[in-house]
Amino acid sequence: MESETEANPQNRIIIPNEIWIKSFSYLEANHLLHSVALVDRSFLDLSSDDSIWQDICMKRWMGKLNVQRFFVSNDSEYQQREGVISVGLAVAEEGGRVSADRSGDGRRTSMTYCYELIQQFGSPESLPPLNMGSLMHRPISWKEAYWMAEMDSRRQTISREEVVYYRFRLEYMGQPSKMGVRQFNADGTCDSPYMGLCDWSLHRKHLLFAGMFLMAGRDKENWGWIIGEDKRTVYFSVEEKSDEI
Amino acid sequence: MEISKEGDTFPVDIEVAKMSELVRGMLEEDADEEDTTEIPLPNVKAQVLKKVIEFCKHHKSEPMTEIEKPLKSPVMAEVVQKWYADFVNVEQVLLFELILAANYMDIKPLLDLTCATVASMIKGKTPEEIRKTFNIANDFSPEEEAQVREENKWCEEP
Repeated sequence: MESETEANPQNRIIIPNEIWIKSFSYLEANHLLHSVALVDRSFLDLSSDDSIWQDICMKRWMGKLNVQRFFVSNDSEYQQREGVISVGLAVAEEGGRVSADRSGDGRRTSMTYCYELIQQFGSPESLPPLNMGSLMHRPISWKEAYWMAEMDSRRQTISREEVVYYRFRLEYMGQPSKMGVRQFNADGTCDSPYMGLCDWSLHRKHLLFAGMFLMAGRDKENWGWIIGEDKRTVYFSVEEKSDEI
Repeated sequence: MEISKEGDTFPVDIEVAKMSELVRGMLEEDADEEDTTEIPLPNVKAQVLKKVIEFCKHHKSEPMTEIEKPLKSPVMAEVVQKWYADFVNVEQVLLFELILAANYMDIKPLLDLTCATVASMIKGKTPEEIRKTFNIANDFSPEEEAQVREENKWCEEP
């Protein structure tokens, strides 16, 4: 009888990689990231397999607003993955630099990049909206997609692009409005059935609309946004605008 | 009839034998000899084949319930019927041999069960405990290990 802990590695039964991957698919995302990936290089590699993370990504993010376009896209696999982060991670210039860095250094991943950003800003909660657009010039792995969606869901500052991107349904004193959804236009206007055409602008975490500062915060139900939660009229992001409008 | 690596023969009902996609494929090639087809399985030891057949027979009377992902518990009896939990309560060497047999003979429920069992041995354990369980050497440099740890640090579900 060989003892379990002292067995000679040569006597070990070699389990094919796909078996490990299938076994890992029964584990939770956090455990894969925090324990399994740290066992050895081979476990890091196998626990990052696309098939595992596609499944986890779908279960966690399907139907959630911050990754919506990803799941409704009928385009190629490449474009579907692009959509994972296109909704949430919007603006700025940083992305271009990442894209350039990646080509030179194989070990540098989107995760490394995001990690550096988080260090810079202290926590995911304090991240500004970032432009990850340039990351999307090549397909990213499902693990990266999961990780970035996870991180972005914790971001507490809405981007201008997101304000324009979503439609918003209204509740007045807790009652759903019957006046249809509201849209904030890219030109800085918004047509209200009550107030007519009003200007809007974004000031860090607040939307200035029709003379009122409305706080924007995360909707924990669907990872979209709630604007003016402390006011009598509350705006809930519901869906992206179609391109025709 | 299924024949092991050592040449032992095991008589098996055709319906039970057909749970293996490998065997099903072999049977369909010469479908006219219905009652006594001999299926050689030179990659499977008698001791393992016996367990595999035991599994397939039981599966016909009490089909295994689908094992939920991710595992709800590291205790197999809490994720699958008792008979199946007892079935995989074996030495690691035999468990791995069952996995290889299930993979080779292409028996999906047995592969699901055995892989879930491997997962149950990992669930809730630290990297060091996992290394001990499967006798794995840590081949990370301290820098690499720190990098993986750091990268994943922020990714926790609320």
